[in-house]
Amino acid sequence: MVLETIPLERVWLLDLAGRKTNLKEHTNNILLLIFLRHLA
Amino acid sequence: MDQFKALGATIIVVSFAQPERLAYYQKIHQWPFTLLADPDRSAYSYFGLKRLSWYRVFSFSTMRLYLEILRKGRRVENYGKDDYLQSGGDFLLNDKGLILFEHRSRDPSDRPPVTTLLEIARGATGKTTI
Repeated sequence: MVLETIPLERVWLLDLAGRKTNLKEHTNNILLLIFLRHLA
Repeated sequence: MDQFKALGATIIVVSFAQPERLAYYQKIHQWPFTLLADPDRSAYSYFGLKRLSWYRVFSFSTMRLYLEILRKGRRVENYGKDDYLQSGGDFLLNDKGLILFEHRSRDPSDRPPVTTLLEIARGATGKTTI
């Protein structure tokens, strides 16, 4: 699977208070996005 | 971490755990980066991060990784029932959403070296760290 450009404003996640937020709101320059496997 | 910050990079760590569980985890560990939740795994799916097979999760390289962690004296925290088959991944993007680097882990020990991520981030920003 190849991704080229993604719309940051369309990737929705939840902050620690459970509020909806998107990647655009957190990105100023370069974004390092790390997806965890599990917490342990 | 500081080297990424010096480049003006934002680090976001995503978990499929519920936000309240992540908040508890963050309260304990006080990680210096943004932690966000994806409990319905829509972002995981969007980035092509699937569930791994059992033989990938419990491969020889994974067992070696966990043994190394235990040998260093780290203990495995028990945060309750978890999905051990969900794969992880690492992505570098610019502020326009252009993918600069993508890595989808094939097993738990499969993560790109930090030096690789830094090199790509430096190339994208045109900066060198001190």
